[in-house]
Amino acid sequence: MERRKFVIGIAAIVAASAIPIINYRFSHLLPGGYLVRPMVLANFCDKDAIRDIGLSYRHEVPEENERNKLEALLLTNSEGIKVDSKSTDEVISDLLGTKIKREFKNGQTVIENGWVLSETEARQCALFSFYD
Amino acid sequence: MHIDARIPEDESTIEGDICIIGAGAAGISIAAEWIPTSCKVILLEGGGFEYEDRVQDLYSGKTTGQPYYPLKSARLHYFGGTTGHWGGMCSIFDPITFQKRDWINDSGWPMTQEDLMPYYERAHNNLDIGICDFNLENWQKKDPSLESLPLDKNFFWSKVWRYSPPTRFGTKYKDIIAQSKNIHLYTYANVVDIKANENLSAVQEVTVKNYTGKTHKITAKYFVLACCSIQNARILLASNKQSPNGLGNDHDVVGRYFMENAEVRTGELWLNEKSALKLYMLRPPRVKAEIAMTAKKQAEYEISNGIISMIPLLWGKNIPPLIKTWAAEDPRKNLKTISEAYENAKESKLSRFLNSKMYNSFQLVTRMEQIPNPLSRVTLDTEKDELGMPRAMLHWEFTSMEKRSLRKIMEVLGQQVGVAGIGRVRLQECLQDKNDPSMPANTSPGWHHMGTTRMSDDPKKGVVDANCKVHGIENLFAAGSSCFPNGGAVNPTLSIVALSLRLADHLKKKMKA
Repeated sequence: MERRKFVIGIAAIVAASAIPIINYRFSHLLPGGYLVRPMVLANFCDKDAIRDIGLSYRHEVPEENERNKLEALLLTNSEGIKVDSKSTDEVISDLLGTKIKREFKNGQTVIENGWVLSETEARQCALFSFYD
Repeated sequence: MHIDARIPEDESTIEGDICIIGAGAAGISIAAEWIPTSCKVILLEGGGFEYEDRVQDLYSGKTTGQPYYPLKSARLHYFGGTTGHWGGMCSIFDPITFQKRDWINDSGWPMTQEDLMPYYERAHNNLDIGICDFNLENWQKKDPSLESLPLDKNFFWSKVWRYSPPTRFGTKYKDIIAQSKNIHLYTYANVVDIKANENLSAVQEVTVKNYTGKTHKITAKYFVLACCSIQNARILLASNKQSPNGLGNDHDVVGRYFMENAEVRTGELWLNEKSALKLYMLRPPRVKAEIAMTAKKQAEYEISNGIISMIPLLWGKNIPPLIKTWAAEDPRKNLKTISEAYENAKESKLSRFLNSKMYNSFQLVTRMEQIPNPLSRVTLDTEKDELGMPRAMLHWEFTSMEKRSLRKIMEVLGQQVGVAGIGRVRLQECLQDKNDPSMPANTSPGWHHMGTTRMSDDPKKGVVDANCKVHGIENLFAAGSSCFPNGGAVNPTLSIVALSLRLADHLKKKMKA
């Protein structure tokens, strides 16, 4: 019994230490840059889960079911001004972060596969599903 | 003093000033208020001092509608009542529980939280809770590590809970009652009929019976039904020799508006950083809190109340829903099954050591206020128990509002967790289809029977008035949660005792007059 617990414990340690590695790999190897990285959600979901959220969003919001449209919506700030897609990661990350905060505050959220997400996060997942 | 009702000669007549029917939290609390006085209180208990399956079987009955626990095991039938195995969680009803809410039919009490507050304070003694303080800031001053989640206070607040040890009324009050000269406790005295005078304006006597076949009559100035929701309704409905619909039931309200607290796994909280969430995890004898939506937002969204508790997801996922584990007719067997399920779900010592009691994911469980619904009700079966009483039948039914409320609370919590920037919320699968109004199959009742002799100033809407007196019957009262017009989202025991103490005070005044 004690041996069994020991083996389970070792397995738990290995699994626990693997989580940050998986997450690191995931958030850095995603195609499409910051636009397809829902940074907070990526702490809790693997690639498959994020793709499924994206597919669900595309199904529920068919008018946005196009890669270019999603990119354009993600790159447009709250004043309706489009940010250049070739902007630095920092600029895009800041833009998305600000939009996500504002959307949560304004109740611009959606529920996809149970997750309560800002519209921008859901669009990031949707865009990711095109790449994956 | 204690008298075993199996011993006196058959067909004895017992006289008293007040007759209290039922010796659970409500009945004992009222009886104890008369120690020591010259008032002769007859306290009737259907069982003895220990569990007996033959006595417990008198509570058996059928259920329909939303799946419910076997009625036989949903209450304890011996001195002390269901406090014999309750968990001890105590909190007060929020002010909104007492208010008339335009968006909830038949909501509102004919009293306010403020009216009940002095009795809540007194009830703390009965339940051995300690000081009556539900102000979180006071507790946080004493222990700054009790940090609340940084959610917008316009949306959510942390509702304080206190713990009773839990007080077993059977243990605490057995000797006190038995040694009292003016409290006459009769065990094995099951009320099978209430007889009123000719014009049904006052109760004359009640008939008690036990399985020796003996019956006795009790006469008193005042009678108090204190057998909890299902049995209070059953006794009134079965007392139908003089009035075919049962006593106090001129408007067909007796038995209706049965309510519970639906306990539903509603989601998961995922935090960016691991946390112990100490305030929300604490266990007896200290204070703990749960997340509650503000009254203002409940009104804005037109939903009923719901309060969210949390446990580490690691455990929560492994604990089967109570509706699955509390399935046997024998409550002792169910208790064993539940303790085993919790034991098996517990995190291993190694895992707890590695996690240092810090987690980034939590199972969210919402305790939902059931809105008053006349179709959710207790009726009589054609089948009778060993004493010849028709068995109770329970039809437990929700409206679509409870499900909508569950979903809305979780959706708004998800938004506010996002605003706070602390993580994300995931709704449980059962809430993901917004067009499905049915309650989830694993909805677990809280063993919190409420309603059936509800309180209202209007006899067409309630069985008792604000003083718990049955409308139209001058000396018959009901005590406990059967009088609640709506039940809020907290465990009812503290409120049961508080309301019972209020009734005791009212009866004292009447006796003096």
